[in-house]
Amino acid sequence: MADIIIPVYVTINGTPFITGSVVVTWGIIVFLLVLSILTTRNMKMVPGVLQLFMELILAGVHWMVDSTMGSHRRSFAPYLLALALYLLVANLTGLVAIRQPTADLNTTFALAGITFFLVQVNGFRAKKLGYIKSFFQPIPFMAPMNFISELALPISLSFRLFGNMLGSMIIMLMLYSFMPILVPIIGHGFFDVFAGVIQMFIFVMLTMTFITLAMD
Amino acid sequence: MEGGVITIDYSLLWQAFNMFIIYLLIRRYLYKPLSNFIKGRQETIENNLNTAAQEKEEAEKLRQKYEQSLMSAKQEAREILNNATKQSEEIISEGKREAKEQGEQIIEKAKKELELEKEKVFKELKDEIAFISVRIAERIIETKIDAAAQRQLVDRYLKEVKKVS
Repeated sequence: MADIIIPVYVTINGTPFITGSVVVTWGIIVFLLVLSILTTRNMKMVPGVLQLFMELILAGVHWMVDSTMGSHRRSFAPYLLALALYLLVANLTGLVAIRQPTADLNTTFALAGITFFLVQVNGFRAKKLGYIKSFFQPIPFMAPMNFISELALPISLSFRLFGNMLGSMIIMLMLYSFMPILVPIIGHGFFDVFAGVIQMFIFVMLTMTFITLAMD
Repeated sequence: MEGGVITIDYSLLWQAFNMFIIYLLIRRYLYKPLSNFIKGRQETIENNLNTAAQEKEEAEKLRQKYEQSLMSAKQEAREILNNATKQSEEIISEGKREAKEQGEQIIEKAKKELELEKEKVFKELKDEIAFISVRIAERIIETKIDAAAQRQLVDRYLKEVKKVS
């Protein structure tokens, strides 16, 4: 059974460097790579189950990009697909008794940091100086609040996912200690599958929305 | 060595790097091949549909052409038949007319010939009768009468013969 405390394997000056979340993420990298190669190795005009499933996910990402960002910003689709697949698998690792990497603030903060980076870079690229000016709108006095709201973005994004997944994990641990037989199935269904998929969707959706807001 | 639950440490850098790796791998091994494949399939299907529509149109044109040629062939056949009927009727009527004409001609000719023959016969008969009657008269009377009286006698007799005939 997974533990609340994250195992640490390598430290630098006493600070954790390689933790359980990192190792699980490596596993997920291998899993996604194998899945990708298996999917694209032998693609057919009439798709098999795996190809159909991945086509469905890709079509879903394309649909979300088209409807929230516009079809001219499909260049973001590969990252969003990677993010969606990673979050989906990471959130569902609880089903096989592995501690979710997304129940680790370092993981979620890293992902939210990438989103923050994408928002700032693309906002600046789309509007140049106008983007910097937008921080002093409507009046320059508002600048500090604009900066705070901008910084709140990665924090809210990361803590939302982290909190949801950690909470799910703790509730599942409690369920296992009180009623270890049959009852946890319902808990897994709700806290791992339902909450996991929903949180993945929210994270991807918000990433798209924030990038679009910064660019328009 | 154990970390806390809500702490930020160096593993954050690892996770950001891992996410970057996932992005590269997914883009290289899943996104590009799959979306290219889907695009290619879409194009193939569109092409097939277009080709099918074109072929259908061509088939329709061909069918119309055939139908038209069939119709014209039927029309031609009807015309030929009509012409043949008309011609045969003409030939028949012509034949009838000619036959009638010829028949009439033949009849006319026969009549004429008959008339001529009749006249000839009458003339011969007249001479013969004249001769015979003179001889008979000579025999009966045994007397010679003058030529003028004889002639008168024969003519009267001939008139009577003509009346009879």
